Amino acid sequence: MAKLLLISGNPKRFPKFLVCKLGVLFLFAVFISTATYAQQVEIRGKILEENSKATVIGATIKLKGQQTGTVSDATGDFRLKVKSLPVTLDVSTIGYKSQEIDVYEAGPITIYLDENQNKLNEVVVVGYGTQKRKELTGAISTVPKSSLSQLSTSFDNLLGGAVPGLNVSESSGQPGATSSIRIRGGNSINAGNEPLYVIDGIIVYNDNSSTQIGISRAGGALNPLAAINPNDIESIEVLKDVSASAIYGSRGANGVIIITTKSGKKGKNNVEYQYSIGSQQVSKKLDLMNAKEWGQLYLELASAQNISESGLTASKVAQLGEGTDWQSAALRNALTQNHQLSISGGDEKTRYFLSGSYTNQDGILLNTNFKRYNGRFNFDRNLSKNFIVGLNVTASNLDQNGLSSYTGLYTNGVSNSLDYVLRIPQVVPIYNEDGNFNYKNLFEKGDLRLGDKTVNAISDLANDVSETKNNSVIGNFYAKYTIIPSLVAKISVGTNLSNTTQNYYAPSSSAAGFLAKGYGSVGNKRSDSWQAEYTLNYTKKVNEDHYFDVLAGYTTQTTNIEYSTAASSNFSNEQLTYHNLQGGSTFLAPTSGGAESILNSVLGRLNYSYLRRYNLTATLRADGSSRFAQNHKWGYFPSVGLSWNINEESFLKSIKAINDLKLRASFGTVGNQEIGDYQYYSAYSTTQNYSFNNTLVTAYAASNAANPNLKWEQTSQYNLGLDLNLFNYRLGFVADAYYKKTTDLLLNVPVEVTTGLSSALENVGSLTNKGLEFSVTGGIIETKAFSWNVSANIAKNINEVTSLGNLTSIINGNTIIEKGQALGTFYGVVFDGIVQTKDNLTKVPKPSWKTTVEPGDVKYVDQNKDGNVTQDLDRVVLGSTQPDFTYGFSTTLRYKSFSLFASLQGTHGNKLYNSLRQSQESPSLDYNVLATLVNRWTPDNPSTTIPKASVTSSTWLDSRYIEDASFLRLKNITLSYLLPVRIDKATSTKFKVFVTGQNLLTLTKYTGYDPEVSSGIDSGAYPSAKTFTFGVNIAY
Amino acid sequence: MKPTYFYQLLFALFVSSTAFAAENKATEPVIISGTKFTYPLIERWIEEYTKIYPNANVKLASKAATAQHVDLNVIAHQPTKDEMTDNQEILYAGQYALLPVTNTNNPILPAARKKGLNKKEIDKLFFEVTSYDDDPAIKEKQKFVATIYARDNQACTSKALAGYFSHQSSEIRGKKVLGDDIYLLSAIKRDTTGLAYNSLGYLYDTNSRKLKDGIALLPLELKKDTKELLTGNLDNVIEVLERNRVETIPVEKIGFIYSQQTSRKEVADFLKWVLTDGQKFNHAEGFLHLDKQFLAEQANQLNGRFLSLK
Repeated sequence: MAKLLLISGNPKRFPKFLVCKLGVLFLFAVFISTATYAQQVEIRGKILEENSKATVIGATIKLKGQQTGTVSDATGDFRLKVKSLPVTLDVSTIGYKSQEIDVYEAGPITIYLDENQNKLNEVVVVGYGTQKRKELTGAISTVPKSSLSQLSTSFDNLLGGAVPGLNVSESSGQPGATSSIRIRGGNSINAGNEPLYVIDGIIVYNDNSSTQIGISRAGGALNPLAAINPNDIESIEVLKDVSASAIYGSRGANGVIIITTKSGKKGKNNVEYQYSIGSQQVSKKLDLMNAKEWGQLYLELASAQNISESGLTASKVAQLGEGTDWQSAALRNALTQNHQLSISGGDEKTRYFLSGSYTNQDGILLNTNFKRYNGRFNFDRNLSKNFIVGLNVTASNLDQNGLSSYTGLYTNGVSNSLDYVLRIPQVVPIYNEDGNFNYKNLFEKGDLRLGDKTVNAISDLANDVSETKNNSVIGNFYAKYTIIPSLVAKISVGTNLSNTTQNYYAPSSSAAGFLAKGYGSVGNKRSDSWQAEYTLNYTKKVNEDHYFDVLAGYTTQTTNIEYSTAASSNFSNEQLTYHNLQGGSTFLAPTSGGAESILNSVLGRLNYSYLRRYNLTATLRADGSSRFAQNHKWGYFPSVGLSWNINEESFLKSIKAINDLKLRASFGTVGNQEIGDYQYYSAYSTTQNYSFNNTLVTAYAASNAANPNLKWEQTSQYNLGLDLNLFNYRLGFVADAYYKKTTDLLLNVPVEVTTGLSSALENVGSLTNKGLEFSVTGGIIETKAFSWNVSANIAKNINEVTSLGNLTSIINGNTIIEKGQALGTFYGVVFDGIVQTKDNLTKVPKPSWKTTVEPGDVKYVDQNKDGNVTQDLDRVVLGSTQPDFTYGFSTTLRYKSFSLFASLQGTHGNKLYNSLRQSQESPSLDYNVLATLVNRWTPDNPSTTIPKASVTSSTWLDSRYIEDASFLRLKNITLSYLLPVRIDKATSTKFKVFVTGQNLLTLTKYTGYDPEVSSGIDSGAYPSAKTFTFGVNIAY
Repeated sequence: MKPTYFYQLLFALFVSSTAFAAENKATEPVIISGTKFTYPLIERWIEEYTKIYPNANVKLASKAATAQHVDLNVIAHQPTKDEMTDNQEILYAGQYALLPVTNTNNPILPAARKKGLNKKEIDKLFFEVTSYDDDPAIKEKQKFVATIYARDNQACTSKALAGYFSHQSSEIRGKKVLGDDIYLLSAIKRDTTGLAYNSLGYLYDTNSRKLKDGIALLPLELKKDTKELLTGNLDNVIEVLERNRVETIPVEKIGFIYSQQTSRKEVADFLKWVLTDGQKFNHAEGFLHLDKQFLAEQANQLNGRFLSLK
């Protein structure tokens, strides 16, 4: 106040302007009023974002070299008392370039902070290095930070809808479940289609089966990617085209996802803590028949003997009401909570980032759960001016309790414990009058009955143990030496160690332990992967016009897998469950196995940029893989990418509205080695199919034919892209068109039976993916108080099998692989309505599973017009799991301290086989069915869609059950508020509270629980949940 | 705050505000605001103009009154479209030059004097080349150890300096100085490794016409005759800069942004005087003249725009 100037002007002429008679009085009064105060000056100011002029909240303003400081409040304003002027202030906040500012006047002053992410010089993480976005030639999408900061147990769930051309489908709604990711469609039939992950330089091929050991009844599917805490991730780059992914050679065909975790930055220690607690509910329930409806159906189907046995007479049915809602009893409101703590910082020579997190998510089905403990330590140290060493390591412990799978059991086609919950008629109570589980279901007549005892599905859920536990360490150590300023040598040694244990126990009351009198099994799997990378990077700028960046390297990776399982049954004491396999009376054959694979590689890349306008990226990788035959061990994968920054040309440079206009083109070849180990060897396996002296003995039989010509699947790719940024980067467009052709597809080709084998793996097929992608980002409003950003993307991919060698098609159950069709194509008969009373029954095609055709029966299209419908002659293509297009949309709205984020994800045109519905629309005397069957065909109700009640139903796949699985989902909506409070006088406190709704709304025609089932067949997938979460985030 | 002081302050505020209100009933003044390093020239113009027209009422804006109406905004860089509204126009009235300056005890001076710095070296010193700074492999080696001082990125001189070297102002290295360009000199005087660009009006004592104490011009790679004149007094420097373009010395125009909608006759009268008689004070305050033809165009523009004024 003491230095408040009435009139601003040149300091040396200040007195001249002070001669203002009334102003003097004012100034005099102010002087008097402040004279007795301590000699302090208060600096007042405002912090704004440089380009948008938006308020920067929570920026730290400190006196240089001292701890004295303050933070900008919700309006960006701050006040700081200092002894005298001038002073030097350090102004900093996350996401902005720190500034050192000399202040000579008390103010009010305005400080502009520049975003770290300088768009002109934005650097993108690419394979084995970084590159300026301006000089990129490849199609690389960066996952928006707003998407990354949302709550999720695994980062792959955050990718859906965030990047065009990347399709994520979760295997189920079970906490910690796997998901399936396709970048620009699937490229292979028998080899893997998942992308390659590079986590801080460590190459991880995410095999979802890696957490499956072979404990067949444990139905959980633990996502190995959940080992990475999404909160530790700084950035995710998706490498989609060959110019970007060819540096990963034989593993680049399915695209590459590069994950960089957070690291410490020079400056003060930053501590951040986040806690969230949420409630989950099932997002949709199936509409099943109530007790009365099912009773009426039962009476329609039952014989007099049935009725006499069950006692469910017409008079009793008339008195029935809703009955017992087994579905609701299996579901619950489940709690989810998460703690996150991170500490980071650094000085001139050392940077560190430490984090720990705990997640506990109960599933919405009884006795299902996911828990994770995770820690991370990232560390870098400059040992000298030229020498940096560093470490990135994360360790995690995952624990999933899942459903029991009934695969391999005689269960009348019931696929798992959830499926059985839905099937028990609502006339059956869950509990006896004494409160114990009711194990006497009068209507269960099949495999799940022994004497007068039956299985109780809720008891199954509550008492079965189905655990998958995983401990993993992913880490690498690196040393980087700058030999001369333009030449850097780097050595990196990394590992991915994963130990999975599966424990399973089904008590004698359960479906899986029913006949076995208790069934327990345990399994362990260890997967160790070690990699070493040696790279040299040379950069040179010549005459300001030419920029070279040359990379050469050698890498080697060895992966070792070992596993074993043991199981026993017939327990007299079930208290110790799987901990006491020796207590079982029947020991089942143990299994064990192991495999080792090695990949040695030489790689090189040249980036050249001329005048910052014309860019070239040329890469070559040679991979030698132990998975291929001697003569084909080495594969060579070249690529060339070109780009042209058109806006740098003189004819466009004057147009200030255009910030970037770039044309990109790339072509090259990448490979796929994910075929499993030892496939080219002749192999013999043990079997018990041979009998000597009436005793089955263990024998060896040929299981794999040697193929000395087994080689890589190769994918040739072509990409054409356009990047456009306008109006100071407020509006951005990215468009890409691509064509990919995979040749030498590995297929199981039938061989002569004299070989003792039915088929052998050969490189014979080909398929293509072609598509278009488009994304737009816009900063619609950017003012101090209010901002609104949106981003949207859409992608179309056409997948087509172009050759199967000499095979015409490969039919696998209800799917077909056929030339001209997409992968994931369903194959079945076409539903043609219901036979009506007035129809001429002799002209209705007769399905082979029926002896006669009657009114009310299902009609199928007789494709070959022979009067009969058979699986062999009348099946046709019914659609595929490939979507016509996928799209995503996200938006962030900020008003002062409030922020609202929403993201939507959608697919269109993809089909899903609703196998659960098929079984639940098959009436029987034993099981409940969907309420849709209330409207079944009767002479008085001539339905054209639902056949009459009959105990004989078709198991054929017909077109009714291939459903449109298109959906639009509100994945996430988050409202947050930054509180204007300071904790314990800390100078840089951020205190944020937020509420999040996940999966609140799904628009779909799909009739099952959820249209997102990655396998394409919904046979009782764990239902998805909608979640409401409240959380706090404190940082200082 | 004790109640006594509060009442004293309240009284003072009451007296001063009522007094201001009384004065406001007189002729509405022409209010000028803008970049501060031009104020010595603006003040001089106001002073001389008022001598000739004693009834004229032209003032610099009060800093305390942030919401005050401003008739003329002084700008010292090429404004973007975003910086001007549709009905605003700009009228140029002079030029200024930015010279690189350092502490007289800067250890680089002896070496730099042997062969002055060229544009490329200045560019490298003052601006960040790439954002690869964290990577020692690509970090460009600096010829000299220096701490760059500059105004904040939004300041006119920062924009002019960066624009002249084909950069964004956000690419200027080093520390920021808030408030006024004059403080850049204070920073330089406190730091022997300090480098900054500053305008002639601040670098030289406009009375003695000599370079101010404690600072030295950063030696530049120049032709011999230019070099000699540049090391002379302020008038020599102005002379050489008006005659020649020196690639390491940005010369930029200063102008008044005015609004067609709100302009008044008093504003037009003042501007007309500045473009004619007022020009003779440019050199005195360390500013350069505009090219004669360009100045004539400005006068024509002014006549054209204000013909309709009553």
